[in-house]
Amino acid sequence: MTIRFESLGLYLPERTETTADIVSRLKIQTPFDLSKITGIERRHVSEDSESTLSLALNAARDCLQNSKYNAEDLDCIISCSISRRIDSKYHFEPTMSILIKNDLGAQQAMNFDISNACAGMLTGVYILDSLIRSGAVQNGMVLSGERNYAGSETAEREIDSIFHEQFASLTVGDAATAVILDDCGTEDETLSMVELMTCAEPADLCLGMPSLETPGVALYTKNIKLHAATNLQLWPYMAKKVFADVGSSLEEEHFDYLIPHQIGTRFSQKSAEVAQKVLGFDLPEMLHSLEDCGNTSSTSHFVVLYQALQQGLVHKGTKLLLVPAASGVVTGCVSVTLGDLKVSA
Amino acid sequence: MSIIIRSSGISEANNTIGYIEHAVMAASACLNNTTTRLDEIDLLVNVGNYRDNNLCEPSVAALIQHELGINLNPLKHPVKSHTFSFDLMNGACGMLSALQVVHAILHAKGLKRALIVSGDCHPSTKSSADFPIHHTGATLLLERSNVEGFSRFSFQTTSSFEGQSGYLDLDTHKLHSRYSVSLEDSTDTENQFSFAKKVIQSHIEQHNIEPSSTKLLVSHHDASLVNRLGSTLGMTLASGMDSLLSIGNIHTAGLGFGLHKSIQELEQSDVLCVSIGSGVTVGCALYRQMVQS
Repeated sequence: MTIRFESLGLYLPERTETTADIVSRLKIQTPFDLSKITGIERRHVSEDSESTLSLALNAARDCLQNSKYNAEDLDCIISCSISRRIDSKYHFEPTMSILIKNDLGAQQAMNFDISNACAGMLTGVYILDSLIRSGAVQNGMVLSGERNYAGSETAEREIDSIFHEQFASLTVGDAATAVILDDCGTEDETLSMVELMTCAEPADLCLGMPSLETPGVALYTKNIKLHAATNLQLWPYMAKKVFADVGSSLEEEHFDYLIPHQIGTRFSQKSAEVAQKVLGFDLPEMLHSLEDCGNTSSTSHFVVLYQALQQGLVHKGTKLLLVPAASGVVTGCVSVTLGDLKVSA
Repeated sequence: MSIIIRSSGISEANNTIGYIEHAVMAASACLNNTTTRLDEIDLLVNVGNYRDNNLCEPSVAALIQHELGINLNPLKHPVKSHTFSFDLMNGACGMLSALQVVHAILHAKGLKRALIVSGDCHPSTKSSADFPIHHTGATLLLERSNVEGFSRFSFQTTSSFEGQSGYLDLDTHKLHSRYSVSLEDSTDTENQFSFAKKVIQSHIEQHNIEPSSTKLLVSHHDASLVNRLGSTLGMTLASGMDSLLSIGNIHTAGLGFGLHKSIQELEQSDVLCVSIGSGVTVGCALYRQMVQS
């Protein structure tokens, strides 16, 4: 059985905010250039009327438009949003997936939500891939709507020192993505590896929860410890092992591009340098959507992929390695060779 | 193709501590009953819904993994299995959904073991008059099996939502948001009963289950709903149901708790596990353990 990405969906809110404007509103002067460090010039920001649910539904509809499947054909819907926000309410129940399923009219689909920080969509892909391979379902949709910018607004109000733990929140943007997987792949169109690992030692270095200082959700990140070289070595160590386990190596796989989680260009560069030392060769060229979208958390790899298809950077036959870097910490390798994927202009 | 319960553990209801502490105690109790080492666990899935401090990141599973000391850093402490963990949320049906997902992952990836942790708490980790769920934890250790255990999963939901909603309203709770949560319930108990009965009957027919020789374990705290389902379907309730009904509402921990309390019975007869949650969502799976001769 060969699994593939059958179709993709993307929704980006129209409004944007620039990094320069956000930084200019901080209570302090920053001695560094946030745009230069991260490569982020602007990010998309939801309107007040938009929710995690409405963002996700827009991506789901785009995905179905690019698919051979109708909503009622879907066997499974997995929602992976971190933000789970409708109006001012952050929902634990009902699941986003049942609201999405009912709205789309996908009544036969099994549904549940996943929460795994910025590795959410790739965790959904890991699970759906297994559900299809085990014969439980034949297809399904993994999706996420992220209304992250509220965390940036909290950070904007509360940052009062250059060492503040909410600095990373200034990089986030809103987005929604969806992907349909099915069992109709071929040797030339395949999701050939989905391996993920959680190394829990740094699990408490990045915590998202409501702030006690101003009303809103905040993300507290101990960046220096979290992005220490010892933690960055986890991915190349794992990549070496998982490809060796299937009698290959990352170098032998000849990936055209690597899509990292979109934290920032300097982080990507540092990760690549650490990986080069461990693996002994240069990583494939990396793709980013940082400049216009920032860090869109659980949706980031699929924002990059969709935009790369729109720009003609990737196409049928392109072989990609998707690499998560999520709090937990979650790392891994997702190998996909693209088929003839349609995307909206 | 199946998964079997290798061990189970619970942390008794205590509303003075939070979910992470309960989950760690339940998982420790579960693991203390086996020879399984921490580095032999391939997957850790948390299905708890209401959590300490209304945390949204990282996964609660990763924090529980951290506390248990599982796959902390394989570069410093080499391990046999590279554990992967995540949260799966499906309200009161989370445990059953996780069992189906674990079943799929263990078989598709050729992995051996998974730990599923469940339970809930008020975000303040303290007792609260407007929070009806008792703080507790229930854990199952599952292993891949080819002949016995859980199989034949099915889920159905109604087309328009009804049931329990739980949310944090940032506008209402403002600076108290970290320690506040609101619960509402729009359940129509008659609809809930009719839908559950229909789904269970359809599962029984589809999988040729013999009601008279199969025990029924319903993960729900409403004794009248559970007893009515048992009598309507002509099924005897599993031995753990008395304990489950007497403890009250333990939400996501219900199925794990009920299975833990029925563990002896699982060796003697088939048990049909049913979860009923918001949606309305009804899930069913049969647990069949081969009788030792």
